[in-house]
Amino acid sequence: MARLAPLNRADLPHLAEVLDEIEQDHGYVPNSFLTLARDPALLDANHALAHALWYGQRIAPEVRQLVAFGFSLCNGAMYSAAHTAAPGADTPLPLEVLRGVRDAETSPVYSEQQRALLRLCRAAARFPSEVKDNHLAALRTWFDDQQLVQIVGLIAWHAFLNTWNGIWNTRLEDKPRAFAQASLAGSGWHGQAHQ
Amino acid sequence: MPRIDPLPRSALPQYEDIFQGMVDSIGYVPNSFLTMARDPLLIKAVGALSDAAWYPKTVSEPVRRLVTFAFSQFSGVGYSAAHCACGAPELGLPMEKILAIHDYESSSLFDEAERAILRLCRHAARIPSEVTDADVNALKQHFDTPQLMFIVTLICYMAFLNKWNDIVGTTLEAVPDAWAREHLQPVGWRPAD
Repeated sequence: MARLAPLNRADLPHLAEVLDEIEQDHGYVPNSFLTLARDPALLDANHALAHALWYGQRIAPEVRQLVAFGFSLCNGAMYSAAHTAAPGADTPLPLEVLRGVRDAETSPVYSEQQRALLRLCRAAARFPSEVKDNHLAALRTWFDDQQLVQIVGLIAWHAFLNTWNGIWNTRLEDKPRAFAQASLAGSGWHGQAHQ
Repeated sequence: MPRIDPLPRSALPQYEDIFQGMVDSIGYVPNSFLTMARDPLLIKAVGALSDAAWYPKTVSEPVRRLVTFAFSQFSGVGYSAAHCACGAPELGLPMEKILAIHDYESSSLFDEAERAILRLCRHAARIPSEVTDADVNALKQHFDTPQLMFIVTLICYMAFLNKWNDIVGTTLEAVPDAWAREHLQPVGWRPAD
């Protein structure tokens, strides 16, 4: 059960613009944003991070989704993993790429670029961290400094969101839960928390 | 050596207000923000996050420093641990508590509210998370909802910064580096390679 109740969207007309945009992207308003909304400045900051790191075309949507999903899954953060896998306006990756993250090193489904991205995600999600110089050096084959800033920013933002939802045990909404249960079998995803 | 280079402060006059706010608050501009400044939308968003998650006076300064230092220390991120501990004694977090951070369950230096904070920090720093209902319920005995939300927000803000600095390999600035070399090594802090 959630440790902090989300607010009722109907009680937040002053945040309608932000929440409408989130709904357009996801197809629903995640409960995480309805707990962040308890502090409007905190919701606004996360909305600004979404504009800086998620919306737009500065890195390909496939890269964005793989990084956000791969890091969250490796981080054991099933709430965000379900969100970033579920169909939405910015989630173009085929199911076999989402399902096979744990076998990315050997699976023919992945490109070398995707393997390098997932290596960084996995190393950054270890405790303690296992990130080394070669993780970023490998990514320079495909990405410049500006794009690397976006990729690292995405991981850091998901560290924020993963931690927020881990502490509050935010309830995973029905739509992404149903998708994850039906589609992410074998990926390592489980729905034990966030009920 | 950082894996993505920071930009020089002199090349970023458009962010001078933000940087001066940092100097006024902690005495220097962290290199982390000079790397984020490579992306104008990102530095603006992180500025908004800092305004929401660092500057409000929702909890006392010693509690703010205890939360941010402990979570970073328990996460194994020396860059942020040094930032959050440097200057903390002058703001009311005694050096004895900093040095006893790993003994919080048994040390008589900490009261029950601080123990509850440190338990949450410790469990939130684990991967996967080890936070339980009991951890959050214990904090509710000592803090109201806005304070508890702010404590969690501080942890999440540090989760962002810790991950950023860990991946980027940000160089610790001279002031906190010298301070940490002198004071933090007894708790396991080590200078970067």
